[in-house]
Amino acid sequence: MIAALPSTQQITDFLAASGYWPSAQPDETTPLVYEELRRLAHYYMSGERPDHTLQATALVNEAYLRLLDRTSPHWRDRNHFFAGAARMMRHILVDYAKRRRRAKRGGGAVKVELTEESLVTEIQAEQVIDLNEALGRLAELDRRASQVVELKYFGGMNYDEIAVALNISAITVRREWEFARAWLHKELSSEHGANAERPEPDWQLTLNAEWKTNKEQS
Amino acid sequence: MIATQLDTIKEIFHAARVLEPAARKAYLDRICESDLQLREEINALLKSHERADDFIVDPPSQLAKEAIVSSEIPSDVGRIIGNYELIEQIGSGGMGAVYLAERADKQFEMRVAIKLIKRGMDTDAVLQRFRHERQILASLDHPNIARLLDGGTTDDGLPYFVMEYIEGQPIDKYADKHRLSLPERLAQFRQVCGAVAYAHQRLVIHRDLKPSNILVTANGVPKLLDFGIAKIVRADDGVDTLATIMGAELMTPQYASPEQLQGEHVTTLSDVYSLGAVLYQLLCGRPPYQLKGRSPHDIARTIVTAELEKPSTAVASRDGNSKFEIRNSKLLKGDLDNIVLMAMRKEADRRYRSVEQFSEDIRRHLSGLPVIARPDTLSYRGVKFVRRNKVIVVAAALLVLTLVGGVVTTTWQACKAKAQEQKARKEQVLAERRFNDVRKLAHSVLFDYHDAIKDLPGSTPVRARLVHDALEYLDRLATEAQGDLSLQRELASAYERVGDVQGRPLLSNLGDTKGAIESYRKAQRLREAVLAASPHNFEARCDLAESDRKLGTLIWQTGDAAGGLEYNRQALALFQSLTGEAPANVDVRLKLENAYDYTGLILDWRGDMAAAAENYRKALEVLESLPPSERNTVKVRRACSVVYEHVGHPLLVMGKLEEALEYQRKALAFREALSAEFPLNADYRELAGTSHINVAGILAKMRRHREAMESYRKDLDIIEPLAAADPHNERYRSHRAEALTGIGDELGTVGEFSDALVRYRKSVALRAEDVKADPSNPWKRADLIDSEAKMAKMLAKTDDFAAALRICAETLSLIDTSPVAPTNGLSRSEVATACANLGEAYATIASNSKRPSHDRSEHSRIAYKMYQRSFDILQDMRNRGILTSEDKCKLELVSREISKWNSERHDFADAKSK
Repeated sequence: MIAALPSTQQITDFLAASGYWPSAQPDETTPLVYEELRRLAHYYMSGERPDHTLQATALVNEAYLRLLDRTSPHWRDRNHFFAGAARMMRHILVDYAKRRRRAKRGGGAVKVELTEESLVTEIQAEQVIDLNEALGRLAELDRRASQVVELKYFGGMNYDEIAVALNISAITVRREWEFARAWLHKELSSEHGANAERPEPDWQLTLNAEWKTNKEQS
Repeated sequence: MIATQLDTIKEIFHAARVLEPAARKAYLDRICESDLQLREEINALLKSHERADDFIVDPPSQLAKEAIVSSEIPSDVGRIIGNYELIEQIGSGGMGAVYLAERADKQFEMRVAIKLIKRGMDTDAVLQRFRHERQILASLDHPNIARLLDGGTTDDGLPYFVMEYIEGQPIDKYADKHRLSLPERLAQFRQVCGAVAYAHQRLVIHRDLKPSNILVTANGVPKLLDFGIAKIVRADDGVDTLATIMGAELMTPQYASPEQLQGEHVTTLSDVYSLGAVLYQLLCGRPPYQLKGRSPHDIARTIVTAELEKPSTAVASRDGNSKFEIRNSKLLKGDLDNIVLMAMRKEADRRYRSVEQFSEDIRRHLSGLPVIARPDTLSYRGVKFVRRNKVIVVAAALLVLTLVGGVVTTTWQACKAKAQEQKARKEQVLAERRFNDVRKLAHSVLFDYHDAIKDLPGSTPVRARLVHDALEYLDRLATEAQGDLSLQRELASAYERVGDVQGRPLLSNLGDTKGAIESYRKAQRLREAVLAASPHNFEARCDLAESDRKLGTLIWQTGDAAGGLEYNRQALALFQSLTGEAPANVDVRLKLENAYDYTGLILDWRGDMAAAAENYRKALEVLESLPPSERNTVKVRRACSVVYEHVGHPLLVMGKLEEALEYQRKALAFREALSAEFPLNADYRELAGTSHINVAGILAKMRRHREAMESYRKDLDIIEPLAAADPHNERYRSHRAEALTGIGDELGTVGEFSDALVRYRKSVALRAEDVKADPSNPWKRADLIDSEAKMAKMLAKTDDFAAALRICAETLSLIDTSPVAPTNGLSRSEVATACANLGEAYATIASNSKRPSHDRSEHSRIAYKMYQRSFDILQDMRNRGILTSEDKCKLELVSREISKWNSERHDFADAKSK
C-alpha cells in the first residue's frame, strides 16, 4: 500500500524553489507532503492488523490537517520539513497522553474496558509523557542526540534518512541513538525507582480491581 | 554537566559498550581513574544500555490509534451540564464528543444526548450562530427527527447541545443486521426523505447527512440526528472548507456534495446529494467512492470530477461470498441506477429539484410506475456544464413561487386571524414562531433559489416571471401592513431582494434598472416609516442606510452620478454614526466599508481621483481595524483584495505607477492565497486572474513589456481552464479577450507584429461572440471595436493591405451602428482609441510606396479623418469634464498626428506647386 517515497532530492529541490509550504503551490507540494505523512502512518501502524489501515488513513488526515493549519510555520528547507513532521507527531501524541491522564485522575470513577489493548495504551501513554520530559532535558545537554530520537521514535525515520536530514554520517546517527537511548532509559528507570516508593496511581488500582471482579464473574 | 564533560562521557560510553565485561572494567578503571562521579554515570548508562531491550524501538501504535479514534476522551463523564449529568460517552468525532445524560435533579426520568463541542472550534462564532438558529431548530417537530432540546455553554466556555436521546443503529448497519430486503430498505429510506423534506420546508438544511447520523431504533423507526448542527458548528460565513469537512469527518467525506467540497453555497440540493450517497450505501453495501488512503485534495477532486460507478455495477463486482443481502445486480439495473445517479449528479441543478421528488421517484419505482430519472446521455457527459436542463430551472422557479406566495400569505392571514380570535398567550407564541419560520422561508428561498438559477443560460424569462409574481404578492401584503412595523420591516427586505434580482449593480441581474430603482424606493419608504415610529432603533437605521446605499449605487448606474453620490453619502453618514455606537458590530462595520468603497467608485468614475482615493483608503482602514478573528474570514479577505484593487486605480490614473503596482500585487497575493486554500473555487481563481491583468496593465505603462506579457500569460493560464470547463460563461470570454488584447498590445509595441496579429484575431473572435450574445450592450460593442481596430492596424503593419482595408471598413460600420451615451467615458475613450488606430492603419497603408499614388492620397485623407474623429470625441469628453489623465495623453498623441499630417500635406502641396 505504500507508494514510492519522493526522493529527498525531489523534496529539497521543490522546497528550495518554492521557499515555503503550503501556501506557495499546494497542488505540487501536497502529494510530497502527503506521501511523507503516509510513511509516518505506516510506521505507526506497522505492528497492526491490516484492517487498521483505516486508522492509518485517519492518522494521516489528522496530521495533514494540522500541517494545513495556517498557523504552522512555513518550511524553510528539507531538514525543517522532516523535523516539523516528527515534531508534529510528538505533539499529537504527548497532548493526547496528557489529556488522557488528566481525565483518568480527575474524572472519578473511570470506566475502562479491560482488554490487552487498553493496558498497552496505558503503558504507552505514560511512557510517551515521561519520554517527552526526558527528551526535553536531553535536548538541553545534547541537542543532536535528542533530535535523532525525535526523528526516529516519533518520525519513524531510519538511520540513513536521519543522516541525510541532519547532514551527518549514518554511523554517527547510530552512535547518537545508542547513547540517547541509554541515557533516556537511565532517566526513566531512575524515575521509576523513585516512583516505586509511592503508592500506585489510582487508575491502576481501579484497573486491578475491575480486572479481578471480571475474572471472578467469568 | 558541561558540554566537554558530556563529550567525554559519550566517548567513554561508546568505547566501553563494545567491550567484554572484564575488558570493560579494566578500561573504566584506567580511564576514570579516581573520578567516582564519572564512573558512576558511565556505569548507569551502560546498565541502561544492557537492559534497554526494545525500549523506544517500536512506535507507540496503540496510543496513536486511540488518539485518533477518540479525539476526545471520556473526561466529562460524571460532569453536570445544565440540568443534566453526563452518564456515558456514546460517540465522538471531529466536532467533539456525544454523551448520554440524565436529569441531574432526578425530578423525572429523562435521558438525553449531549453533544459537547471540543475546544479549539471557534467558540464565539458557534454560540452566535447557535443563538441565531436555535429557535428554528427547536421548532423541528417530526417523528423521524431527533429533537434539539436546548443548548448553551459549559462553565469553562464550551458550547453544547442537548438532543433527544436515540437508541439505535446507523441505518446501513441496521439494514444489514436485520437482513432487510430491497423494498424494505427503500421504504425505510423514504421515511428518512420525509423527515429531510419536512426540515427543508422550514428552510433547515442538514449539511451532514450520513449513515451515522441516521439511527434506526429497535422498532425500525429511523431518526435523524444533528439537524442543522453542522451549520452552527462548522460554517464560516456560510461555506464549508475542505479542512473543516475533513476535520469534522476525520475519515473521508464520502457523503459531502461537490459544492460543499468546493466551498460553495450549500442548499437543499446538497442534502439531496448526501441522501443519494446514503442510498448508494444501502443498495451496494459500500460507499460511493473508493477513497481509502488518498489525500484530502485527491478525495475532493474525485468527488467533484470522477464518474460514479453505477450501483448495479458495484453490486455485480462484489465477490460471490459476500454476505451482503442484495446480490442480484439486475434488481438495481435501470430505475434504481438512474435514481441514485440523478440524486448524486455533480451539478446541483441537475439533481432532483427536491427531496420530495427524489422520494416520489422511489415510490414510483416501487409501484412499478415509470420514473423521472433518466441516465445521463453520452453527449451530456461529453459536454458537461454546457447544456442545462431548462425544465429543472422552470420547476425550481415555480417551486419558489408556490413557497413564497402561497405559504406566506396563508400563514400570515392565519396568524392575524388567530391573534384577533383569542389572545391566549400560547397561541400568540406559536403564531409568532410560525411567522418567523415564514419570514425565513420568504427571504432565504427567494434568495437561494434565485441564486441557484441565476447563472443558467436561458433562465432570464423565468427570473423575470419570478420577480413579477413576487412583486404582485408583496404589493398585496403591503396594503395590509399599514401600522404593523414588523411586517413592514419584512416587506422592505423582500422588496430589497427583488430589487437586487432586478438590477443590482456588478452582480448578475435582470438588467431592469428602472424596476429595480422602484423596488428599492419601496423598500426605502417602508424603512422610513418604520424608523419614524421608532427613531432610535439601531436596526431600522441600519436598514435605511443600506437602502440608501443600494439606491444610490443604482442611480449612479443610470448615469446620474451626482444623485448616486448624494444617496451614498447619506448612507455613509448613517453607517458612520452606527459604527460609532456599536464598534463591536462587525456586520455594520462591513457595511460601512462597503459604503466607502462604493462612494469611492462613483468618485473614481467621475474622475475625482483624490476624493476616490480618500474613500478607498477609509474602506481599507475599516477592514484593517476588524478584530483578528474577523479579519481572517474568507469574506473579509476577499473584500480586502477588492479594496486593494480599487485603491490601485486612482494611483494608476494619477501616474503613481509604482504605488499602483504595489496595491495590485497586494490584491493578487490575497487572491492567490484564497485560490490555494480553495483550489476548486472558480471565483477566487478568476479574481486572481483579474489581478494579473491589472498588474500587466501597469507594467505595460512602465514599459516593462516582457513582464507585462508574462502577467497576461499568467492570467490566461488561470482563465483558460475555467473557460474550457464552462464555455458559455461570458465573463470568462471577455476576460480572455482582454488578456489576449493586452498581449497583442505588448507584442505590437516591441515590434512583433505577426504575433500580435494572432492575439488580436482571437480576441476579435471572442468579443464578436460576446456582442452576438448581448447585442445592445454598449460596453461590449466598444470592446469589439477596440480589438477590431487594433487588428486592422496590425494587418496594415504586416502588409496585408486588402484584409486591413476590409477590417477597417467593418470596424467603421460597427462604430457607426453603435450608439454610445455621451457620458459613458469608458466606452467613448475606447472608440476614440479605435479611431486613432484606424487612422494609423490607413496611414500605414498610405505610406507604402508600392501602392498606386491615387490610393495613397485617398488613404492618407481617410487617416486624417480618423485622427480628427478621435480628436473630436476626446475634445467633447474634455468639455464634459470626463477626460481621464490617460485620455489626456491620447488627446495629445492624436493632436500630434494631426499636426504631422497637416505639415506633410503642406510639404506635399509645396512639392506639387514647385
